[in-house]
Amino acid sequence: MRAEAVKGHLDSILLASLEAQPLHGYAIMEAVRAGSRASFDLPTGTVYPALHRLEHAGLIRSKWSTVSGRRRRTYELTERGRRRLAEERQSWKQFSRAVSTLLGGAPAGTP
Amino acid sequence: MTSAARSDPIDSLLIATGARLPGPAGPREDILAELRDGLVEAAEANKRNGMGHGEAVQLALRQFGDARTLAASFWPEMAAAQARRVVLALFATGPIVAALWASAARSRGSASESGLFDGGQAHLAAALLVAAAISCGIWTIVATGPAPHRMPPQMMLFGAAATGGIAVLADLAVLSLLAVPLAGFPGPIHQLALGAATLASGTRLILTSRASWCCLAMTTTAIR
Repeated sequence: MRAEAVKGHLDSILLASLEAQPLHGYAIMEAVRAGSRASFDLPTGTVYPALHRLEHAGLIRSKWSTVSGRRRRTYELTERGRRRLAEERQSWKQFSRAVSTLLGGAPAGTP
Repeated sequence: MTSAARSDPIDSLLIATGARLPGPAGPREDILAELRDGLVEAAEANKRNGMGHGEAVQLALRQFGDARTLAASFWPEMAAAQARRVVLALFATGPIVAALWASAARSRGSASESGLFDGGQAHLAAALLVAAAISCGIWTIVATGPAPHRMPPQMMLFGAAATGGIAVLADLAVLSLLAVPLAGFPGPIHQLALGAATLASGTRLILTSRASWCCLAMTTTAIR
């Protein structure tokens, strides 16, 4: 899938990837790739700046550690980030249900 | 990770990327350290998928992109960091320099400003100082708040450069309007206070000029 298609949802995707556990940058990209069954292959130049932006906005926080002699930055969700993720999730459900209805498919989340 | 895993191609990419990232050293080093960790992790993952070391590293490099692309993606962040550094430095040093000049003026032994400078000069100096203080205050709020990630980086840099320019004018005005008349008053303590204030203003003048020029220079690296 093209990176542009993900652009508007990048923040939500990154927040969701950190919901279960703290991860470093490359692990986040891998988690997104695996979680989307390889549909989303986010470019490095998009992910790292977006993570830094989310940190600046207080939605995630990072801490540095040393792993195998090299510095590693690990990110985790803040409480504010968790609340934002819940809001984004709710908003996405409403949006996808509406679009699915308009496109004639089965609404998302319906049995 | 073995030293072999930290191969030359990774170092080469990081050096080339770093060279294209002007601005404060701290954020740049953090970006490069994070990229190195990611590149090594990517290479290790490729090796776990059965690739040889060289092939795994080359694929990791392709996955991350070339130095130009990487530097371009981090440039806005570096621009914001540069602008933030300039306005915070101005904001922090302003009161110190002002306090040094106040102590130099008081140490001359006269409580009034009569004979120090005329009313027109005082108004000009005051206007420049107020403009510098207001500009610094506004851009400190802008540069340290969430705005840097919404505002075009060029605008951030131009704003910081303009703030620096006003501060340079204010420092020049203070130096020219206060240093010469205050030098005419005797006393070692007064001369020492005057020397400290002049040195502080002069240092700030030079550093602010350089920093403002760096901000302007960074805008051209983004266009290239």
